[in-house]
Amino acid sequence: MNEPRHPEPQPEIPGGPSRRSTIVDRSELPAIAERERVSRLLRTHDLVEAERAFDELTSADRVMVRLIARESAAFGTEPSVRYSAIAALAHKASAEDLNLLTDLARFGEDFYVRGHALLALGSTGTYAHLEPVLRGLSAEELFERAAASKALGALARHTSAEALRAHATALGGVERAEQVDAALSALETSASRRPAAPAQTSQGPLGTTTS
Amino acid sequence: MVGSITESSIREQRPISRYGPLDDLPRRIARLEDMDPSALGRHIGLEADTAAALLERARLSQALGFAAATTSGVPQESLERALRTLIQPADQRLAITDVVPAHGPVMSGKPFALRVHFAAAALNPPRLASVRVEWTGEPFVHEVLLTAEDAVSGYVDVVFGADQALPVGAATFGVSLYNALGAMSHFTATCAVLPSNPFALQVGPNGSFVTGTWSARGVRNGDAYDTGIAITLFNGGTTAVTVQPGFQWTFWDGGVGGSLVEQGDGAFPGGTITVPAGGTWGGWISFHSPDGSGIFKHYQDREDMTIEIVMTRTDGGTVRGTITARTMFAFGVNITGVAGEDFIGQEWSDLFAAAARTRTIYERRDLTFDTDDRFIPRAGVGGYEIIDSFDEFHHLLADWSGPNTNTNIDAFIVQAISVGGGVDGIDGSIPGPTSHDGSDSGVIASKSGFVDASGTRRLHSAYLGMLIGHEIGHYLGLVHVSDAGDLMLPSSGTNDINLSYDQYRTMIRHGWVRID
Repeated sequence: MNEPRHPEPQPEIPGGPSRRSTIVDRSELPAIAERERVSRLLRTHDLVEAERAFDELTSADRVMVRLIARESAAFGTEPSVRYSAIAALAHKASAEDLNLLTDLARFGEDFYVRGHALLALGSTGTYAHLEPVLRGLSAEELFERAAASKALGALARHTSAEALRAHATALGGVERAEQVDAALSALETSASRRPAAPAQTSQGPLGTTTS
Repeated sequence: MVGSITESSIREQRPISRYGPLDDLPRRIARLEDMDPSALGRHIGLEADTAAALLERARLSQALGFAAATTSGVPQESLERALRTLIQPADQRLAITDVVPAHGPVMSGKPFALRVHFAAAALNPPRLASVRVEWTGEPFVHEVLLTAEDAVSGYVDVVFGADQALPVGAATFGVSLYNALGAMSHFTATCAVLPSNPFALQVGPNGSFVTGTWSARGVRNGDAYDTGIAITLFNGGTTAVTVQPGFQWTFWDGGVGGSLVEQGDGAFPGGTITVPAGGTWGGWISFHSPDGSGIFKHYQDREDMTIEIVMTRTDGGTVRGTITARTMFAFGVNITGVAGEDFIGQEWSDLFAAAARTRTIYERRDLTFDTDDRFIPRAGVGGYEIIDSFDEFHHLLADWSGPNTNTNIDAFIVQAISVGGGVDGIDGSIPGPTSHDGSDSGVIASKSGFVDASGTRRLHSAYLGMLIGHEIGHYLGLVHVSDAGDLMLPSSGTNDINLSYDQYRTMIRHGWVRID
C-alpha cells in the first residue's frame, strides 16, 4: 500500500513536549481510589465486558454505586457512568438499591434519569415494581414513556402478561389492566412496523461534512 | 507550471477563558443552607410561602425529592430544578460551578493559577482537585489537596509552577473535584495561552479545534487537492496590535528552508487587522491546488510538506507560523440519529460536536473521515430507539444499514441501550464488513442525554465523541487493549483518546479505508 511518508521536522515546543505531573497518593484518599475503580467498572462499552464488570462489583462497592447513581450529570459527571450505575442497582440488588431505583424512577431530576431507572426496574423482572412502570407509561416525555414501555415488556417476559394484568388490576382496577394491555400491544405493533426489507435512513439537518 | 490559488476569510473568536467549543458554562448551583425562602423561591420558581414550606421540610428531610414531593404546591418543573441546582445540608454530592484563570490571563512560560469555584455541603467539603491539562505537548495531571479554609471560601486556587508553564496556544483544563466520600464533579475550561513576548501567530488544521500537534490535510477534490488552515494571532500585550491584512504563504519540502514547493501572497478581507490587548484574532486560508501544481504533485506522491505563513505588523515587525500538511487515509461514517425527532436542536448540535471530537481523535493518528448526517424517523423506528436485546441490535443493522447508500460505516445513535450490564455501545463484528448486507454492518452508541443545570437537554459531546470513536475502532478491526489512555480500553473514558501506530496500521487495511 502506498502510505504517506513523514519527513517533515516536528514543530519545536518551547520547554519541551512534557510537563511534570503531580498526583496525590490515593492511599490517603481511599474513597477516591474506590470511586475511580468503580467508575472504570461501570464505564464499560461492550456487552461481554460490561457483564463481567458488573460481576466484579462487590457488596462493599454498592455504597459507591449508589452515590454515583445519585450524582446529577448537571454537575459535570459522565451521564453514561451514572446510567450504568443505575443499571447496576438492579444487578444483585439489595433493598437499599431497589429503594433508590424507585426514588429515581419517581423523583429523578429529569426524564432521562427516570427513564433509565424504569429500564433498570424492568430488568429486575419482578412485578413488585409494576406501579412506577405503569406511571411512566403516562409520562410527558417520549423517552420516559418508551422506557416504561420497554420495562413493561421486560417484566412480561420475566413473568407473564396475565400476571401483570392481575397485579395492575389490584393496583388500580380494570383501567390499569387495560393500560398494560395497550402498552404490550403497542410494543408488538411497533415491532411489526419494522421494514420488511432494508430501508433508507433520511437526510439529517447538516448533510455531508468533511474536515 | 500551474499554480495554487488561495481564498481567505475571518472567523469568530471565542473569549480567551472559554476558548474551546466543548467548554462548560458557569453553573447556577447553590447551597440550600445559604438560602432564605425568597432566595429559594427565585432560584427554582416558587411563590414565597410555598418556598418557605419546602425549605422547612428540606431541612428535616434526607432527600430533597421527598421534601418536594410532600410539600403541596411544588410543580414538577420546580422539583426538577431544585434537584439539579441545589446542594442540601447533608448532601453527599458536590458541584464545580465555574473555573477561571485566577490572576489574569494564562501567559506563556509563566506560572499561573486556576480558580475553581464550587458548591458543597459543609458536612462534606471537597478534598481533592485534579486537573488534566491538554496542550500542545503530552497531557499531564496536576492535583492539590484542599484545606478547611478553601472549603469555607467556596473556591480553591490551583497553582501551576514554573515547570508546568505552557507555550502559546489553546490549553484545555479538565477539572475534577472530589470529597472524602468519593463524590465527584467535573468542569472543562479552555484558555488561550497568550504570548509573554507578547505577540505570536499560530497555524492550525482546518475545521477542528485542537490542543495538540496536528497536521493540515490535503483533501482530493476532483483534479485538485484542497488544503484548509486556521490562522490565529495572539496578543499578550496591554495594547492592541495592528497587522497588515496581507500574508505570504510557502509550501516547503523538508521543513522551512528546504526545497521550495510553491509560494504566493494573499490577503484577509476587511483591511487592517486589529488584535485586541490580551486577546486573539482568527482567520481561515484555503489553498486550491490543481493537477500540475507543485502541491498537487507532492500530495499525489504522498510527500509531507511544511506550510509557512508570514504576516507583517503595521509597525514593521513580522510574525510567522508553520504546520505540516499531508494526505491522510480516509473513510466515511453515517451518523444516524435513531428516532431523529427526539433529538432537539441542541442535541443535534452536541452530536455534531461529538462527531468533530471523534474526527480529531482519528486525525491525531493521520486518519480522517467524512460524515453523512442521517436519521430514522420516529414513525418508522419500530422500537429501535431503546435497544433492549442483542438480537434487537442486529435487527436494527439488518433493517437500516444500507442498502445502496455508500461505503460509509453506519453509526446509529440510539436513545438508550438496556441489554444487561452498563453497555453504552455495541459493534456488529470485528472488523465490520465491507457491505451493508447482513446484520453486522454498523455500530450503535447510546446518546446518553441529560438535562444541564440551566434546564437544557444536552449530550455529553466529549464522551460521546470518544464512544463513537471506540465503536468505529472495532469496525475497523481494533480489539480491546490495556494501554493507559488508549481509545480501545474496554472502559475508555472521555480522555482516553490515544491510538497507536500498530492500531493505525490495522485500520488502514480495512476495505472501506481509502487514500486519494
